[in-house]
Amino acid sequence: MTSINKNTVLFFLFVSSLFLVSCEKEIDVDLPRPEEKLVVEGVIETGAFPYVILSKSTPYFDPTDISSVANSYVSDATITISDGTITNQMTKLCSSTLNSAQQRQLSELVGIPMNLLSTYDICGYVDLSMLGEVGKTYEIKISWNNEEYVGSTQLVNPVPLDSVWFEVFGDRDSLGFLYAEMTDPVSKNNYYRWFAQRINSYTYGSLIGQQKDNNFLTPSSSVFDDEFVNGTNFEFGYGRPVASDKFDDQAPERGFYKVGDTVVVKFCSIDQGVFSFISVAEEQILSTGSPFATPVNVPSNISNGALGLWAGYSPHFDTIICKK
Amino acid sequence: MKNPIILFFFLICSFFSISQNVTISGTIKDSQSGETLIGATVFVKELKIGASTNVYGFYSLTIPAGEYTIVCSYVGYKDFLEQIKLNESITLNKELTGSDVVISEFKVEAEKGDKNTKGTQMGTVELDVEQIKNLPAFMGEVDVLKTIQLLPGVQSSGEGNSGFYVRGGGPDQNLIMLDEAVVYNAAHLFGFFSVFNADAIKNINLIKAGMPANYGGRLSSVLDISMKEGNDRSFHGDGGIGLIASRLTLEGPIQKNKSSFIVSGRRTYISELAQPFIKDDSPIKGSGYYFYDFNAKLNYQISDKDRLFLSGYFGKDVFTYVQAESGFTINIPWGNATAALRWNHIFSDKLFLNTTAIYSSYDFTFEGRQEDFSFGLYSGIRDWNLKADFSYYPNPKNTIKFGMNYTYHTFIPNNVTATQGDTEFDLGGAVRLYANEGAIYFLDDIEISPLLKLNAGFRLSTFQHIGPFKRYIKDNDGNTIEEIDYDKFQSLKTFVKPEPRLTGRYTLNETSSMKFGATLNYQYMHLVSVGGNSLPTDLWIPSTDIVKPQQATQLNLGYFKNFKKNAYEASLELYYKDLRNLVEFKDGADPSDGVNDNIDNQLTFGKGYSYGAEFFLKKSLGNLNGWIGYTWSRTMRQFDELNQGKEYPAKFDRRHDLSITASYNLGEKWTFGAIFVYATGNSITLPASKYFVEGELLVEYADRNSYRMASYHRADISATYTGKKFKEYKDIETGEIKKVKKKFTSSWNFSVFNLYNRRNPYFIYFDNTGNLTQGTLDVAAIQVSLFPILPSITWNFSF
Repeated sequence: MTSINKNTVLFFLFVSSLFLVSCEKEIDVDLPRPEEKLVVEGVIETGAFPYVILSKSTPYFDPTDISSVANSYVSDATITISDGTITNQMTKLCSSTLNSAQQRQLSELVGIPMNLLSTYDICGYVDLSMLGEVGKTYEIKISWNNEEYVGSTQLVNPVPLDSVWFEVFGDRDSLGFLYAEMTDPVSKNNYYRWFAQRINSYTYGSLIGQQKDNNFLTPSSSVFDDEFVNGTNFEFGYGRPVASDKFDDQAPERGFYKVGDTVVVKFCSIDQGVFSFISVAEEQILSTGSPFATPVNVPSNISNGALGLWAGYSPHFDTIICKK
Repeated sequence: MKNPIILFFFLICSFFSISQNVTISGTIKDSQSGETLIGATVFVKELKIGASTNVYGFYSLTIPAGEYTIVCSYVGYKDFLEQIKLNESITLNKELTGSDVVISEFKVEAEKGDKNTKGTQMGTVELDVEQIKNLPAFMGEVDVLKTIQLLPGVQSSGEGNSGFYVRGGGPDQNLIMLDEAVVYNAAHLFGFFSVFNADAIKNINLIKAGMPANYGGRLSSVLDISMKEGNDRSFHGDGGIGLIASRLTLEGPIQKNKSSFIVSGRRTYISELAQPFIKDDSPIKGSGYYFYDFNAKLNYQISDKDRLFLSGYFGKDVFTYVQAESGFTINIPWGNATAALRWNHIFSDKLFLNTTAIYSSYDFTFEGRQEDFSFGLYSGIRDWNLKADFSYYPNPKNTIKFGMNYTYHTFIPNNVTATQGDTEFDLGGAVRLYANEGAIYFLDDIEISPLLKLNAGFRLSTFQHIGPFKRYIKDNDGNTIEEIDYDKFQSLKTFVKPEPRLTGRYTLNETSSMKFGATLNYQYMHLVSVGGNSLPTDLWIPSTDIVKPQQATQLNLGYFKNFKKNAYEASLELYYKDLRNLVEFKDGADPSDGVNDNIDNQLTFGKGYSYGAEFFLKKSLGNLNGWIGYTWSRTMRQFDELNQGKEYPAKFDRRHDLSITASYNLGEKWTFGAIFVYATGNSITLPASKYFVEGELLVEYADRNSYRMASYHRADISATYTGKKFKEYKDIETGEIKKVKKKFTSSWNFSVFNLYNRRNPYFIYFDNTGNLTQGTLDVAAIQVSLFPILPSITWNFSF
C-alpha cells in the first residue's frame, strides 16, 4: 500500500548501480549562512495532554555534537493552546526536574537522546489540564523573538481497522508481517498513519527480559490517503519499523515480526496538514543520496515561516498476538 | 474590352520572353559513389553568379542566354569546368571526383570556402563527417552529438546527461532530424553515444540561430542529419571493431546507376565480455548494459525527374541491474524507431518538390522487480507525419521555399503498472494524449543588392489537442471536482501561431560581413524532467488545454571575417533570447502519480531569458587544423510557483564555455587529434539548513540552483594510423610507376578520454552517517564523478 514511494526507492537503487563506474569523494561545500528558523514539534492525541518542543534550524554543515544539539532547543518562548473554547498558556517542563526513569520515558516518547536530557536542561511545553477530544480543532500560538507563529490541527474521527493479523512471509518459519483490513469512509480526504509497538519481552538474545519496543514506532512510509481506496474495503500490510541497532534490527529478523510477539497497533486518523508533512518528510529521508530526488522542502503546518509539525492523532488501537 | 489583369499578365510574359533567360538545372553527384553532393556550387564565371545544390543535390540557375564558363565545385573535390553556349534551358547533371589526398589542396575559388561570410544563414554550421573522424573519439566511437557540443553556443549537458543545450535552451528545444524523421531521444546511455552511426551519415547541418521558416516545432536549434544514399556504382563497406562496440556499414547498387542501398549497424558488447570476469559474489554480477542501432536505406531513381527513398532507423538501449541477494532486478529498455518514405520530384527546371511520409516513435520503460512485486513505468510517443517542401528558383537573386507539414501525435506520458503475485493494482491504465500539429510556410532567400542578402520567411503553425481524453479538474487540495470526457477527435484546444523569421547578411568588404536575425518560434511539445538531471526518464508532454506552447523570440547580430584567403574563419555572434511558457513539474510532483489525474495538472509554468556572446576561430586548410570556440552566456528562469517566485539560474546556465580542437596530419599515415574543453559547473540546489523532527534529520533547501558545482574540464587525445591507401604497380608498356587506390584500407585509432583523469562532478549528494542519539551524527557532501581516464583502441576498415 506504499506504491507512491516505491518509485523513489527504485530510482534510488537504480542510481546506486551507477556507482559501479563512478567514484565518490567528500568535498568542501561553501554555503552561505542561512536564516535561523523556529522548528516546532508538537503532538496532541485523544485522551492525552498536548506537548510542544521548540528548537532552531542550524546551518547544514554546523557540528552535531551533543552540546550543539542541546543549544538548538528553545525554551524562552511562550505558547498558548486553544481547543476552540478554552485558551491556556502552556507550562514549561524541563528535563532537569525529571528523574532518570521519567527522562527515559520522555526520551522514548519524543525522540530526544537520553544523554541529552540528562546532561542538559532541555525544556518542552505541556498543558496537563487539556486532554485531546475527538472532533476538536486545537490551535497553538507561539511567541518567540518578537514573532508569532500559529499552528492548527484537528482530531478527526478515528476510522477503525476491521481486523489485524499476522502472517508468516513466504517460506519463512516464524517471521512475517502484519496485515490489516479496513473500510475507508465514503467521504473524501481521509488520511492515516500507522504506529506499532511490540510490548512483549525478549526471551532470547542479549536483551533477554527487556520489552522489545519501548514506544510506538513508525515504518519508513507510514502515512497514506484514500485517493485510490475511497469508500472501499481493502487490505494492506506493513513490515516492522527498523529504529535501532539492536540485534533484531539486523538480518535475519530485520523488518519482521516474530511468532509470539504481542503487537499493539495504533492506527491514527490524521488531517491533511499532518499527512502532507509526514509524507514529504519521509520521501526526503528515503531519497537521500539519489540524484533523481527533486529538492523539496517539507511543508510545515505552522505559519510565518516556522518549520515542523503540530500534529493531532486520533487513534484506533488493536492488539494482536502473532501466531503461525 | 480585354480584362486589364490579363493584359498586364501578357505584358509581363512578353517582358520575360524579350530578355531570353535560360535555366540550367540538374543534380551534382560524386563520380565514385553516385552520392548527391549537398551544397555544391555551380558558378558562372563571366556573370559572377551561382547557385548551390539543395539537400537532395539539386540546383537551378536562371541566367540570360549566352556563352559561359560553368564551374562546378565542392570542398574536397576537383573542380569541373565547362564552356557552354546557352540559348535554351538545359539540364546539366555533373559528377565530381573527390581528391584522394586527405587534406584538399588549397584552392581559391570565389564561392568555395566563404560560406562563413557570404551565406545569409547565420548561426549555421555544416559539419564535415570526414573532419569529425579525425578528432579524438570517446571510447573509439566517432560521434556527431559530441562534436557539435564542441562548437560555441552548443553545450553538452555534462557527463551522464543526455541532450545538449543551444544558447540557453533546454534539451527539448532542439529539432533533431534523421532523413526528415524527428528523433526524440538522440542519445544512448546517458548521452555518451548518440544514435547516429557516423559511417552512414552524409551531411550534418546545425542551425542555432535564425531558424528559417521551413523548420519549426522547436525553439532553439535544428540538427538536420542526412544519411548517405548508398553507392550506386559499386559495393563498399566500412566498419570498425573497438573495445566497447563494433559497427559495420554496407552499401551498394541494386541496379547500377539506378538504385542503391545502405545498411548500417552498431552494437556494444563490453557488458557481455566482462561477465565471465565478474566474481559471483560481486554486486554487479548479472547487471549489464548494451545498445544497438541499425540504419537502412533504399533509394531508387525512377526517372530523370523522380527519385524515391525509403529509410529507417531502429535503436535500443537496455540497462539491467541485478542484486542477487535481495532478488531485486531493474530492467530499463528504451529506444527510437523511425521510417521515412520520400519522393523527390522535379516539376520543371525551376521547381523542385520533396514529399515525405514519416513514422517516428520513442519508447521508454522502467521495470523493477522484487520477489513477487513488480513495478513498471512506461512512456512513449508515436508520430505519423506528412510533409511537402517545394523549392522554387525563379532567378539568381531569389530562392523561394514553401510547403506544408502535418503530424498526428500520440503521447503516453506515463503509464504505471504494478503487480504483486497474482494481484494487479488498478492504477488506471495507459493514459493517451492526442494532437494534430500542422504548419505552412513561405520564405524567400533574396539578394536585395550585391551587398545585402535577406532570408525572409513566415511560418504559420497550429496545434490542436484532441480527444479521446478525460480532463480532471482539481481544487487546491488536489481533489477532483469535475471530470470532463472528450470524444475521439473532439477538440479541447487549438493554437494558431504566426512565426515571422528574418535573417540577413550585409557584406562589408571582400572578406568580412555582418549578419543579423530576428525570429519568433513556438514549440508545442515539452520535455519535463523528474529529478534534477535529464535522463531517458524525462517525459514528453504535448500542449493541452492547460499547457500553452513555449515561445521564443531571438535576436542575433554577428560579425564574420575570413583571413588568409579563407584559410581562417572567424566570427563573433551576440544573441538575446526571450522565452515564455516554459514547463516544469511543481515542487513535490510525482509523475507516477497520474492515477485519476492528468499529468499536466502537476505542471507549473514560467519564463526565462538568455543572452551571450560567442567567439569562433577556425582553421580548415593545411596540415594543422581545428577550431577554438568560446561562449560567455547567462541563462535565467523565473517561475511564480518555484523558488518563491524569485529568478534563478537555469540548470545549464554556463557562464564560460571553451572548446579547443586540433588535428594534425603527419605525412600520409598519421593523424593526431586533441580536444580540450572547459565549462563553468552546473548549478544545483543544495540544502541550507537542517532540523530534527521525531529524531530524524530533515533539510531546508537553499534557493533553487544557487550553488555551482566545480567546473568541468577535460582533455582528450587521439592518434590514427592509416595503412597504405595506394598500391603501386609498374605499367608494362611505359615502365612508369603508377598508383591505384587499394580496395581494402584500414586504420588504427588510439584514443584517451580524460587525459589527466580529472574527477568532473556528475552530481553532489548529502549523506548523514552515525546516530544522533550517540552524538556521532555526521553530515557530508559527496561528489560523484563518472569517468576517469579511459583509453581505447579501435580498428577501422573500409572496402
